[in-house]
Amino acid sequence: MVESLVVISIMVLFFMGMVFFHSLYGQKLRALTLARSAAVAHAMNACADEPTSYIQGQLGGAASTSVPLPGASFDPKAVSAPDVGLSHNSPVANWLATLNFTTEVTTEVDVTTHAGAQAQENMKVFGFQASPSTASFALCGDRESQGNYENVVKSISIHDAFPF
Amino acid sequence: VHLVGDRRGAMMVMGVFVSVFLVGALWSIAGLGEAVVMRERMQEASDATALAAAMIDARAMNVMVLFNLIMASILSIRVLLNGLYIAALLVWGVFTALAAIPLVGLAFGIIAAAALVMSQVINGIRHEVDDQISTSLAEFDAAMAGIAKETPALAMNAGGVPALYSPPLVAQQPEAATGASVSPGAPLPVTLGSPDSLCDRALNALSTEVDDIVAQSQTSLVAQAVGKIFDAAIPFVTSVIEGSGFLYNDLCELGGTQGLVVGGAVTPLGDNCNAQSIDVGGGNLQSAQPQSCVDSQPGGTDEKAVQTAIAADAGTAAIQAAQDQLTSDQDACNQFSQACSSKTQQQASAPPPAVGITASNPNTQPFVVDNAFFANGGPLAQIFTDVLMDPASPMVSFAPQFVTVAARGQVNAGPPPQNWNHSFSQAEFFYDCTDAWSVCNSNDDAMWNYYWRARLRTFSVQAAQDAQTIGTQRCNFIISKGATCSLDDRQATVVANVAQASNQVIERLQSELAGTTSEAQQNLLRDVDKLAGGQGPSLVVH
Repeated sequence: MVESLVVISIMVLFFMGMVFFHSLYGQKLRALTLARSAAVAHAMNACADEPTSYIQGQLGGAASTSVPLPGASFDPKAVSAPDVGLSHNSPVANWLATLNFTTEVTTEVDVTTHAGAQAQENMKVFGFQASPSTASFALCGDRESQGNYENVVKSISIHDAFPF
Repeated sequence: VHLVGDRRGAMMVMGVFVSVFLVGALWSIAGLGEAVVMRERMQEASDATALAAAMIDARAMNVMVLFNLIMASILSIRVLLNGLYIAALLVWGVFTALAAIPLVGLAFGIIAAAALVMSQVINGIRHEVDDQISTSLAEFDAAMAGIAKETPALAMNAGGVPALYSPPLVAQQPEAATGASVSPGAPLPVTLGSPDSLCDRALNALSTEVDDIVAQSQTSLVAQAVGKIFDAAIPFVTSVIEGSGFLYNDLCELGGTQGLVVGGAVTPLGDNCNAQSIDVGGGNLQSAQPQSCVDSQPGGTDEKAVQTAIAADAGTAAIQAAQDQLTSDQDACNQFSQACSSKTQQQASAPPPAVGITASNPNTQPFVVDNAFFANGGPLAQIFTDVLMDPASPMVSFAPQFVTVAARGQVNAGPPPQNWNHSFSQAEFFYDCTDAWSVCNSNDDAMWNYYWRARLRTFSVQAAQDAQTIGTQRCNFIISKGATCSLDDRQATVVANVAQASNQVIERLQSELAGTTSEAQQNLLRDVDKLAGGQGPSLVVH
C-alpha cells in the first residue's frame, strides 16, 4: 500500500512533468511564431499600426506588448571617402539633420504565453506552471507612396531650416 | 531465503527503475524542446538580420528618390525664371515690331518697354539665385553619392538587429553579419542618369507646383487664369522643345552650352564650356558661342566691317575703330577659349565619374537604377545572412551532458558540430511594381517614386552564388571606370559557408536516400545527385 502510494505519486509527478514540458515548449514555439509574425508584418507596414493587431486573433490567452526601439541614424554625412557625401558644414547636411526620416526604428514585439500541467482537488490547484515569453525584433520599413513634387515642396516648406 | 520469499518492496524496485526511466525521458523532452527553441530562435535572428539589411537598402533607395525629387523641384525654379525671361524677351521683340504700326504703335511700344523692364528684373533674379541653385543641386548629388557608397556598409550591420538576439544565439561579428551582393566596398545599384531627365522632371515639378498653388488660391481668379495658362503651355512647350536640345541647354542649364542665348545676346550662366555651338532652330536663338567669337571669326562681321571701312576709304579713324573692334573681340574670344581649355583640363584631371559614385563629377544629374546590373528580384537585390550559434553556448542551457545520457548518446546537446550551426536567410529589396522590370523602370521611374521595400525570400544557394558572380562583375566594371570597389570578405564567407553547409546537406541526403526503394525517394535522390553535380534547380532550404 505504502509502496504503491510512493510509486504512483512519483509516476504522477513525472507524467505531469512530461505534460508540462510538452506544454512549455509548445507554448514557447507558439510565442516565437506569433512574435515573429507580428514583428515582420509590423515592420513591413512601416511600423504604422499596433503590432499586436496582426496576431490578435491568434493570441488567445497570451499577452503581447510592443516597444519601438530607436536605431542608428541614417546619416548621409557619415562617409569615409573624401570625394562623396556632404561636408559637415553643408547647408543641405544641416537641413537633413533637422529631419527624422533618416532615423532607423526597430520594433520589438514581446509575447508571453502560459504553460502548465495542473490538477485540481477540492478547489486546490497543484502542479507545474510557467509563463514562457519571447521578444522579436525587426527594422521598420518605409511606407510606400508615389513620389510627387507636391509633398516634397510641402516637406521643404515645413522645415524652416531648409536653406534655399 | 527470507529475502527471496519476502515479496514486500517488489513494487519499490520496479518503481525505482520506472522512475529512472521517467527522469531520463523528462530530461530528454526538456533538452529536445530547448534545442528546437534554440534552433528556431537562431533562424529568427537570421531572418531579422536579413530583413533589416534589406530594409536599410530599400530606405536608402527611397531617400535617393526623395533627393531626386528635391533636385527637380529646385531646378524647376531655374526653369520657371528662364521660361519667364524668354517669354518677356519674346513679348518685347514682338511688340517692338508691332510698335511700328501707325495709331496703335504707341500702345504696343509701351507694352514692349514694360516687357523689357520685366525681362531685366527677371534676369536680375536669375543671376541672384543661380549660384544657390547650382550649389544645392551639387550638394544633393554629393549626398546621394555618399548614400550610395555608404549604405551597403550600414546594411551589413543590419541596424544593430543581430546584437538584439545575442548572446548566446548569435556568434560574434563578422560571422553573424550579412553577405550581400551589394557589399560595403561596392555602391548601391545606382548610377548617374541623364541631365535631360532631370530637366524633364523639373518641368513636371513646375507643373505640379503651379497646380498646387492654384489649388490653394481657388478664390483668386488671377491665380486660376495663370494656372490654366501654365497647364496648357507646359505640355505644349515640352512637346515642341523636347529633343531639340533647347530644354536641356537653355532652360535647365545643366552644363553643355554657353548658357541662355536669346536674341543674339549671350548670357553666360552655369558650367558651359563643352558644346561650343548649338542650333536650336528658333529665330531668336542663335549659336551658343560667345558673340565675340562669332563676330571675330574669319568672314565674320568684324572682318567685314574692316574690309568695308577700307573699301569705302572711311578714313584712318574709322578703319582703326573697326580693327580695334576685331582685336577686342578676338581677345575676348581667346580668353573664353583659354578659360574653357583650363576648365576642360581640370575636369580631365579630376577623378572620372565612376558610374555616379563620386561627387567630383561636374555635372548635376539625378541618380537612376544601374540597369546594366540590377533588376527587380535579380542577384544584386539579394541579401544573405549566415548566423552562427555562439560556440560557447550549448544547444541546451541546463545539464547538456544529462540530456545526452538521457538520449542514450543519440543527441549531442552541446555546441552543434561545425557546418551544422548555421542559420541562413535571404531577403531582398525591391521596387514594388507588378509589371516587368522594363515596364516598372521605364523612364527611370523607379528612382522617382517611394516604392522601394524589403521582404524575406526562400533561401536559395544558387541565388547566393549568382549574387557573388554578378557583384564581382559589377565591382570590376566600376574599377574599370576608375573608381574604387571591393567586395567585402563577409560576402565570400557567407557564400562559402552556404556552399559548405549545403554540400553537407546533400551528402547526408545522398547517404540516407541511397538504400531507399520508393519512387518518391528515388526521384528526390536523383534531384540531389543533380545538385551535387551543379545541375538542376537550386537547393532551397526551408
